[in-house]
Amino acid sequence: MASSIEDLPDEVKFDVLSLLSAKQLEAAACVSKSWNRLISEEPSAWRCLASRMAGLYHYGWSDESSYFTEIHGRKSLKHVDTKLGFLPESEFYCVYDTCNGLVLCIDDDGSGWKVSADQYPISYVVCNPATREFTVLPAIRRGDICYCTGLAYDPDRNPGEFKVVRFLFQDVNTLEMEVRVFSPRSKEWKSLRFGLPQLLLLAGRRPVYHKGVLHIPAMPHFMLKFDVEKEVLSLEDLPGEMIGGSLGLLGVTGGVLQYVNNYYVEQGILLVKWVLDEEVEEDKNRWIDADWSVITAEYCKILAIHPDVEVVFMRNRGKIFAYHLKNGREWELCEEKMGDFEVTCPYSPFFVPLGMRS
Amino acid sequence: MSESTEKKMVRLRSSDGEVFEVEESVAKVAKTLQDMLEEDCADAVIPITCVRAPILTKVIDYCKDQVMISSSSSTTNNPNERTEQERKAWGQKFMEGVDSSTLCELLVASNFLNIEGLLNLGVDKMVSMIQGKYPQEIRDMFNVVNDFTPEEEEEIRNQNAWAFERDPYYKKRSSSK
Repeated sequence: MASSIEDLPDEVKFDVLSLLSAKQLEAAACVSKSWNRLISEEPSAWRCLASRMAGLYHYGWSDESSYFTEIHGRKSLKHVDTKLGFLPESEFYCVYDTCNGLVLCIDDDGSGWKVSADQYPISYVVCNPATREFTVLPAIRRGDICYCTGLAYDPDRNPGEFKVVRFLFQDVNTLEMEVRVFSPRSKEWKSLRFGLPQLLLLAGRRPVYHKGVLHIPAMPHFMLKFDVEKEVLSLEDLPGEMIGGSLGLLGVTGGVLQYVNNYYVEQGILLVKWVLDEEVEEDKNRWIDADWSVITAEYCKILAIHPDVEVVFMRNRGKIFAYHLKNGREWELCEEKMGDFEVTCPYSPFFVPLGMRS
Repeated sequence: MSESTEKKMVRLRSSDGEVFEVEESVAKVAKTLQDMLEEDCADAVIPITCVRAPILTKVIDYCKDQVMISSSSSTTNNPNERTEQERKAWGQKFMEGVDSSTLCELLVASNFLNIEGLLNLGVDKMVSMIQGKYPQEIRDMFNVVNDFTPEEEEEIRNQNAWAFERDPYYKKRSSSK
């Protein structure tokens, strides 16, 4: 017979605590040892409960703003400000990346890409829509054109600290790539330069953070890896064939790195998924051909990989679909609101306060 | 529009042995029971082993109300239909006077029986009880023993200093009483 709050099932406790603000959560953490443990000492347990994906952030170059598609009607989501209304006032916040509950967005003053490079500086903002905390990063000149920007945050490895990494355009002559790293501890952008064996194109893909490393698929057929802790940049081959210039998408499902690509075949579209076998040494072929299925469609673009289940999100005929790789079930999520070249980031709320206060 | 066929009844037994007879439609508000009934694996009397009779009574009240709202929703201008505001008010009234121990039992019951609406009501109620409270007030309300040593408490206080400050809004509200 349960008559004490301590006897409630974990998922119910989670529902309650996930509705508290960061401040109320801290008060709750002072109640008793078990409450304290539940809230502050076991972020991994919390993440396990929290990591159920809540939705997708989309960003399109065409109208320079972001929108959020809710996937699961989780009741706790109603207290998560996915529209980022808690951020200081600005015309646009474009979501560039998400990582373990944190959201990386860019504070764009609306002048966008139309003005000359040096005219307006831009700032990145890292925030947690669940606890409504945010940090504004030091402004950067608009002139440094970067391929993509990634967010690295792992509450288990480094609970208090995230990192933001910008991958700048490669020098066509020297093949050197500049990588800029921001950490809240150093409070500044640090510049690193790496030689690469060939010219890469990283357009249109977001970096995927997995076990301390940011991974980005790169044209023609590579995976660029940046070890955030050791600050090392390296290249690895992607699995599968490179047909018709299509580059797949990386993602993490259930803690395993995945690569999904689509090929046009007679019956429709062939979806193939590989998983990375981390037991195998690094220079060997580590990708395992894990799953494939044929969907009947003329066109599709893979947008994102579900972090918890074997589902990929795709765009087809102006709509966003979810497709289950194991049972072939397909369902429509929403109408697409944006044009091409968008970045789609899966978002799972994380309710533990980071202690970032601005 | 009364139904000529007799309504199918389901019997539920609480953990303390009391048997409740309810219409099948009422029992089916609970997803757990719905699954059991649809798969036909429900015996003559379904034991609800983790729910005491007074709690089960309250749960059944909730389910009956849900059936009442939904039963005539096919007709337009349903008199039982509620606006969002009315729904909120009804929920508040339903949870009125529920103490912390009953609330915990209700939460366990609605989680076990998988009644999402009731679970939401309970969670919201609990959140409203914790909101704006000092740690000591939370302890008193939920009968939680403070098992920190004075040194630990001091440390935790320092770590979470802002938890011990009232919101300006809260200050205003409590001083105006």
